[in-house]
Amino acid sequence: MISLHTYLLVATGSAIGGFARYVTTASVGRWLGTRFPWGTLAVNVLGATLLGLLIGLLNLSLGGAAFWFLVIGICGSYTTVSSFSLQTLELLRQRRPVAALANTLLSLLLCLLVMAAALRFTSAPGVLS
Amino acid sequence: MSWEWKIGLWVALGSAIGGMLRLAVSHVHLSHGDISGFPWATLTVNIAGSLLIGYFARHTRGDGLLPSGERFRQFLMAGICGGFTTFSLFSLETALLLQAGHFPMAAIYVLGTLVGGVAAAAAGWSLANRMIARGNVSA
Repeated sequence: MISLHTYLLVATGSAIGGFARYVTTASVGRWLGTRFPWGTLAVNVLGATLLGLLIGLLNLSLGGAAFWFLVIGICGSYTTVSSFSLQTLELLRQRRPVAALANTLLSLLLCLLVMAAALRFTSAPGVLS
Repeated sequence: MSWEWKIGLWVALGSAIGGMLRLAVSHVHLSHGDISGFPWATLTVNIAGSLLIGYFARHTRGDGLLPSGERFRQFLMAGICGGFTTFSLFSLETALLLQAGHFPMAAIYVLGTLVGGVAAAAAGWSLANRMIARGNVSA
């Protein structure tokens, strides 16, 4: 069972992560424009990097307070699949299949790349596997 | 600038709710300390959240059944749906599947999340569209 305490840790972390996601997305959108969803791509890549580094550097045990707050709360809510899905759908509806495919491949490959690099850099694989 | 910070607070509130819902979906999975194997919990929240954001996106437009201002729209979409879904855990789980040599499982997970997510958003949108069309006919 997960305690009320855990729910509060995740809720607090999620509020911080969600707020930071909104600020990042809005800033990147102002900087690079919103014709392509750069903002969502940025938060997802940054969030994956942060999660990989946190897991490795802090040697977080699954189920500890720091794990719930930082990983499940902050990193979990800083990143988003729902906005990615809606924005990719929007690109398809605008008849921009290349942009939709580019958004999908960039999101996937960049996140996997930074995740692999972060796990390797912190030699975290041993922790988790 | 100040209006954006206010929207940010609504997104924070929605994300707190979305994050707790994500925890509720994944709690069985996580409380066993088991993040190996197929990540059903994350796949579930990501697909359900994508369906929901498509549904909200359509309904909160001016001609939807729940026309909303930017704050409430972002509370639902960037907040609840954004906090409910997660790309970072999806990336970690995919990396772990690849690292463990579970290539077919990793491919299914990636396609299920990304193609499935876009398809779910489309399904949510057209579900709302159908409700709106039916509402207009009966009105």
